Amino acid sequence: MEFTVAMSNQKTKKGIDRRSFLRSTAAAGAGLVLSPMVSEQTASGKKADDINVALLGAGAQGQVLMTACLKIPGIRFKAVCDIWTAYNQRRVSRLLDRYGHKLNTYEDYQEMLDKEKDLDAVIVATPDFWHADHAVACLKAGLHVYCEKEMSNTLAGARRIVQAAKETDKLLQIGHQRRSNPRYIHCYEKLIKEAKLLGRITTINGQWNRSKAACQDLLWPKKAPIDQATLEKYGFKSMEQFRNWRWYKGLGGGPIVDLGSHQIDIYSWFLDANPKSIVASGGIDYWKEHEWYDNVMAIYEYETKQGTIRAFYQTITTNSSQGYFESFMGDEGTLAISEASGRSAVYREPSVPEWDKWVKLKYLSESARKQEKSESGAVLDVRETVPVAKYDLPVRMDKPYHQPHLENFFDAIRGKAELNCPAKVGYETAVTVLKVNEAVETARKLEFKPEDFA
Amino acid sequence: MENKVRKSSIGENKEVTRRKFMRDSAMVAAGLGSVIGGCKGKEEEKEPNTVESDAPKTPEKEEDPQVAKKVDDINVALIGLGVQCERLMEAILGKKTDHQKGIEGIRFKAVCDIFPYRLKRISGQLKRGYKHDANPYESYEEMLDKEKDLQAAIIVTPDWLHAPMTIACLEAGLHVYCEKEMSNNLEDAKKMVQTAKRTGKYLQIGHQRRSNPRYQVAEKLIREHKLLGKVKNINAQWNRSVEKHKVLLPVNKKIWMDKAALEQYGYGSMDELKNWRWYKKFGGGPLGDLGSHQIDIFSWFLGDVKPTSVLASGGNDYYKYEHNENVMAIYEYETEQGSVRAFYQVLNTTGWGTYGTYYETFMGDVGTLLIAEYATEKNNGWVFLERYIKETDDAVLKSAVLKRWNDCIRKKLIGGEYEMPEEIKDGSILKIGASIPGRKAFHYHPLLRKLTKPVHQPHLENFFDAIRGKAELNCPGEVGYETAVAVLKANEAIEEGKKLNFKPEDFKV
Repeated sequence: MEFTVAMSNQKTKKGIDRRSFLRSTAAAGAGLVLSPMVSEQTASGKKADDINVALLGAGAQGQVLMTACLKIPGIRFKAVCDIWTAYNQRRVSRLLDRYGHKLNTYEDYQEMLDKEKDLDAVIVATPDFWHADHAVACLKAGLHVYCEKEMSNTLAGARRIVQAAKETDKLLQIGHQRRSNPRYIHCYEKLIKEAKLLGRITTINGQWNRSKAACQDLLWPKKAPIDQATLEKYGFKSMEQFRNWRWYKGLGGGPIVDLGSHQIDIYSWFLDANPKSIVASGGIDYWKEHEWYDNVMAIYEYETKQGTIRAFYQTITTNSSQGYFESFMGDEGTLAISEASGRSAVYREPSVPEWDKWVKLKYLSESARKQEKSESGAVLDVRETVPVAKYDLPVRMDKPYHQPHLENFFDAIRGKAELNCPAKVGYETAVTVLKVNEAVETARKLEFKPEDFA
Repeated sequence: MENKVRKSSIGENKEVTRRKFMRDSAMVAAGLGSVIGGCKGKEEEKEPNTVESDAPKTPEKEEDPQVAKKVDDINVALIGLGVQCERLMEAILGKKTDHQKGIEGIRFKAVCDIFPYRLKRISGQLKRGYKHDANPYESYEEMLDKEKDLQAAIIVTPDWLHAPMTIACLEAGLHVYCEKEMSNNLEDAKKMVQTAKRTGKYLQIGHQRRSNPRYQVAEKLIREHKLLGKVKNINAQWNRSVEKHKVLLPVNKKIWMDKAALEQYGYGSMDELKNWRWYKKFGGGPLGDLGSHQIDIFSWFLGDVKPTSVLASGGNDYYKYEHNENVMAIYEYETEQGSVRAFYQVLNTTGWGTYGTYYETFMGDVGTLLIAEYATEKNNGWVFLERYIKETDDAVLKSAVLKRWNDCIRKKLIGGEYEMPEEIKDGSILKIGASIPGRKAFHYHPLLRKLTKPVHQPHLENFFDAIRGKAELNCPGEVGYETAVAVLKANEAIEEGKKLNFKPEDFKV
């Protein structure tokens, strides 16, 4: 600790100078040309547009984000904070050390914010119920924040974050990382908005189905638990609860919030709308020791200028059939997309003319194989349907899934980009997603009012 | 016409004996001790038919098979001669162009439709193509009055007519095969079941998957062989492209029925007649039409378990017809293995679907079964084994599950592990489950039992076999009623905007 304090003090002044530089750059907005000076190294060996980052929450998801950050130039981890000092914290700080990041470790985020005076940004990857306290404290300490979704497990918490971002004028990016994925951006901007390839979208189907094996409770090395006093200090009753917080009421929101949030966020993005209503069914059907629903099905209704859209979403924990995807179904075509790379396609409805033009423009690429033709031609029924033609997406995404979203956050800090998922967007998605659990409980259609999203 | 009268007098004596024989056998087969109701069929003077058929007369000698009627031949009336009736006709008579065999011993004796064009066309087809001399009627009541030589009726009219027609046929002593949905209202559906009970006649509802051997094997794989482990979820759909949503009216307007004729039978226009499925007073909409086939399977495959609740969303803002074009419904079931949640959707604005346009998937903690009525040589349905089973450290679980799967492979119910053909992979996003490139998400096994017949044929065979005392009905009125209760409730749930609960007594007639 003494070492830490000394280091912090030593860097404080420079830190502030550089930070005020970064902020003013950001304020000047995108398109600003950086002066050559910026890329020159400072006395401390740091380039002027380097960003000093703290990782708050070094569990599995924190590690995913950290790993993605290691591929982004100019990101310097200065601090790691995790209450599981004997495991998460140790593991991450050792790893970062190997990559040449000189950093301090903390159990208490307040202490970290007090002592680290050279930070520009914090990545918050703690359990949902901590997001509000953590994000607000970091923003108020003058830091930009990348906060994992769900923004909060309560709307009150989410609102506090939005408010703090507004007051401090700091950047807040919520971790709906598909928003920065070039494949998703291509689909939204080119295929849906510009070429309108799907025609009128009437239906969305999405899911995240996981096998039983993927949903087992997380364990921990018995040699290295967190002591009971520390657990309780941070709101956990037990090590079991700490490891499996996603399943507990008051800590997380269950799989629908965990996984569904990513995908339902895309529904609203691609439709340019917030939902109007929701009905949902869910239960503790299999994992009887859990507090949150393991099996959830929800139907949203959206009203857009084009008409009504019905959007189904399911997350199940006992069967992995078809994994995870989102399908946007229109009267002219369907876009089936998944974050899982290379597993996306666009399907043309039979009555729609060929899409050669869009292939030429590289909006689409020809599928390697054509759709299987109906073999026997046997007529089944008066209402038989014809198979549809398939096209591939021409855009690839070879980076780790979270990298572009983190890049977007850092680019925004550097004044080179606007955030793809600012507070407002994250809040709207939280309103949309948290309503699922409420709809399950009330067993009736719940309506959203426009002001709910404000 | 004279021909016909002559023939029926010839057949009459034999007829009474034959019908009594068949019914008696049926009663015995169904485990009933006494014969209910008497035989109908006092000799009646045949009136010359009012509707004239100009189908070419077939040579006299070709009619011999009809004269020499075998004792288990069944005389059938076909009521409702629209497009769906052609499927059933082909299933019964076979299709010469496809070298498709029909069902032996079925003789169409009467056909009935209010639309003269269809009446003429179908009776002509029967006569020319199959040498069945079926008397054409515009009114089913007249048909029942005059035709005294019938044993069964096949009813393929719009839903709202199912009840009056079925009840009249049952009362006239006929066994009835009635297309689903049984009725567009539950009171009528209930009366159908009650009448069948009272008359002791068979009533088969046209949920034809119930007799499809592919589905029968699939049901065994789930319930008997427990291949999927605990089934917790069902997903199914029937999605249609925009151009498929409506029946086109005949181009030649000269053949259309005039307004007075339509109104006489309750229709306001030709569109109401041909596209009755979209009107509330005539049908149950796409959900009743398509959904009822598939939601019927949910209950069957779960072990004849009825749903406990339904939540639904639907709308008609695309076409602005009376019925909702797109519907999504979530059913909840309580089974011995706990709660099951089932999602069903029917769309009329997109033909795409995760596994194809229409299918049913049953998802358990060990595996998934994917089946569709439409099958091809390469895509006959599948079971997927969850990958973790082969990788688990739980040796007891692993060996128990693999033993069940291997047993089914040995019994040739499913094939061995299979590499999904490229064209099928590309046709959908089947490989999406594999989140690690090059790593299998599942172990695929094809379903092996094939259906080489038209899809409706086994269900009709089952009906005729029941009449002949050789089988029990696969979808009697009671089962059809349960399905109608489950399906029609979804429309109600849409309107109410809340979860509607079913009580066990809701499913009882």
